[in-house]
Amino acid sequence: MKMNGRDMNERSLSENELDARLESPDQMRVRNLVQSLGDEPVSMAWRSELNEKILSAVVARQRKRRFAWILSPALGLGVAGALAVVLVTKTPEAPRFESHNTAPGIEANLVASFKDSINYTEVTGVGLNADEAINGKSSVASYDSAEVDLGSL
Amino acid sequence: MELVIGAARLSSGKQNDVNELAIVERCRKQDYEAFGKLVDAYQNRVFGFVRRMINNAEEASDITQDVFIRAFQSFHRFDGRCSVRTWLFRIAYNLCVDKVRKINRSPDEVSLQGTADIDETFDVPDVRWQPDQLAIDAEMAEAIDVAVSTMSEKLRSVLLLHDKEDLPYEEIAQMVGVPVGTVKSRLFLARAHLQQHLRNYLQTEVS
Repeated sequence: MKMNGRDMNERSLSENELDARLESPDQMRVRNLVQSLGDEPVSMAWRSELNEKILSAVVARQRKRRFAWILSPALGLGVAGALAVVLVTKTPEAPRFESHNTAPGIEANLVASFKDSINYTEVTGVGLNADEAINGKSSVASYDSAEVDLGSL
Repeated sequence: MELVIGAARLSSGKQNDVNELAIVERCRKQDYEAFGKLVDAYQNRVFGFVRRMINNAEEASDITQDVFIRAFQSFHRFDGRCSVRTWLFRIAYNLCVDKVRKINRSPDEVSLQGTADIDETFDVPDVRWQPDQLAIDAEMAEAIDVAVSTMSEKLRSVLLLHDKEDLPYEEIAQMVGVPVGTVKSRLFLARAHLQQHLRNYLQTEVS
């Protein structure tokens, strides 16, 4: 009987038919032959090499675990610290208070007055007030001792 | 503690199951000693399977070591839905298939021309052929090994997993990633190939 895999698929043997074929005496004899094959023993050298490899895997795993044990709290602290710094430095600015009652003209007048006083100071120097600078006469310089009524003192 | 897993597991008993479960639990916790017992129980069987799948003793040794190292490293992922034996053979099967495919891709490696595949035609012999009357000596075992090595990886894996390692069809189907019916048809073809090859071998011996 000639048979191949495609034939088997095309003929689509039912599961029962296939089971029956697999249970046939020929097939069972082959099965027994395969079953009776011995296991392949491994050498002592092979086993000790495997032990070394497994031990090194254990050590590597322990080292990794220990490292993780040390690193994870440090990492957590670091992240928390960084987060705190970011929160502190990047706090949103408080909204500016703008008074709706302040008239803009007053501010402008104040600034202009300040600028004038600076200008006067630069032109006339310290000691003269604005009126003196304009009149060109110092109140101190206009003082005449002869005109003083000493008797009234 | 007496070692009652591995080969003894096949005889299956409640006590064996309990002991195996205890060892598995310890292995899950990366217990080196418990895993050593597991290796003792399965190393020869896994090596035998890999050796027959790969046909190269040196590479088979390395792959078998890889099987156990991977098992140890990923034991926490073993969910217990199948036996440890099935799980180990699944790892071994996957590594062997990877290796065989790598060999097939490499042009300098052994050509698989002439190996039996699913498309190959087999002449299924008649019932007068009775190899079980012959003692399985070393020569016969070697002939079987040679015949197995000439099969394709697909037939070989199913034959070894079912007939040699006694895994059920469903687990093999899950492992290989094909329906149960395909596993059965592959098994049938693998046995037929072996039968044919051994008949030729026996005829040669007689002549």
